[in-house]
Amino acid sequence: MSAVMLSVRALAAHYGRRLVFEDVSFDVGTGQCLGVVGANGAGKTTLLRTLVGCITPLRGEVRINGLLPRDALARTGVAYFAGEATLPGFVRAAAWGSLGNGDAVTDDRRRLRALSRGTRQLLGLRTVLGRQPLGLVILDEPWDGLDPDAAKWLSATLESKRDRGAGVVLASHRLHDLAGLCDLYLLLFRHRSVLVKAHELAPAGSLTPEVLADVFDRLRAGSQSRQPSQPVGVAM
Amino acid sequence: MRALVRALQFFGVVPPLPSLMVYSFVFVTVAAIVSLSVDVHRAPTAIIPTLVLQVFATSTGFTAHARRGYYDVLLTEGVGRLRTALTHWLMSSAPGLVSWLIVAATERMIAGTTTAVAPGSITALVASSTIPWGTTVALPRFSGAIGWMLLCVMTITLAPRGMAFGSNESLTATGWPAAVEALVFPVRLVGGDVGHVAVLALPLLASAASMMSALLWIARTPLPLEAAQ
Repeated sequence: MSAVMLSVRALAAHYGRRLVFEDVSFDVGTGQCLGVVGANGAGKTTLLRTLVGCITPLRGEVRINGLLPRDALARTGVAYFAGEATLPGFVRAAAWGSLGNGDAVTDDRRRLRALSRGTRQLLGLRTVLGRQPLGLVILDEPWDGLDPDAAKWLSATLESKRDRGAGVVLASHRLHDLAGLCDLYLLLFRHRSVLVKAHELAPAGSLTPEVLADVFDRLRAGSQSRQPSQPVGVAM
Repeated sequence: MRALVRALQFFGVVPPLPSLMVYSFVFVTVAAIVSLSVDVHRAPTAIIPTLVLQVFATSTGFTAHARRGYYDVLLTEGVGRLRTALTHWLMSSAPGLVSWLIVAATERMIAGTTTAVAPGSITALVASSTIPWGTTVALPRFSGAIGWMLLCVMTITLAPRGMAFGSNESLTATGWPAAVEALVFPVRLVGGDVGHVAVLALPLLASAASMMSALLWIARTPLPLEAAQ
């Protein structure tokens, strides 16, 4: 296996008394892509923010390139984007675009709130993905709001980053976009997780969205029939 | 150093203050210069609007913006929360500090001296630049300033008889009422006679305490997205 870029062990997060998830463990190597899948409210966004150090986990540990996030972020190029809603609307598009690697991503002088949702999403993605060098890419619902051309560009860019050795973590509901990119899938549901390896699901290498959806449905159904005390955090 | 430059660049693009606040500083600075040009003896009072505006300007509400994800780009670059927070404070205070310096320089040019750099005046500037920022760190924008204004009104209207808050003699006293007045009404420290240096200690201690507690809060508090909670 490739060198481990991101290592997560027995991670648990909570908001007040509400447990979001627990016992989440996985590794993402260089040149690997992990797709995080789960229903709304399953904890995908919380998991991703825990990976980049914005949330301190209740239990467990995150290591990026062997270091805790607060130490790793300055040394390992990390591209994190949580969607266009996180862009400050009062900032001008051209100025925001320059925050990536300093190059102009757009010459649009309008404020971000004046742009369409898809344009804001694309601008946010291009800004963070423009960083060099990039060791880890963590994106939350990256295809949300993008038109077909922009969605194709994003998939191609992520594939290129992955092939050049970056670790990639994507949270998305769009199984047909994830299916072409990911080597691993983390399914979050009922506060627990299941890690699925793509090559074990489709040894011939052609994992379709339908197969993925079917596997996730079966895992969900299997979990619901289990007693709550039984562990489900196992790799298939 | 590189991280600090990056943080300054970021907050140059994503300013913690709305543009209207910056225009307001320009307005009060010009008004103070005109006032000093007409009557240089109005120096202490000419700078007070800058001070009041500074209380609102520094009530920026760091965490509210951080939880909307506005600072994600910076926070995930390894700049660090404390550096991010200190730069945020610096950029929140900068227009008020610049306004203060311009008015002080104008007074110096016209009168040959300036009340803006007297110990009381500096204490007032420090208190109005730090306490609102520190108290608003986990609250919505302007909360610290509104709370402070409310405290001023309550102190004037509800203080026990004999404490004489707001009187001309109150700050020249040496007891704790003078120190409390200096804390609640820092504008009264500008250019006035301070009876004892200990009167300045309480606002300065409160400034240090509010900054320390705010920075500790920022270093430890989780920053989930508002929508994800």
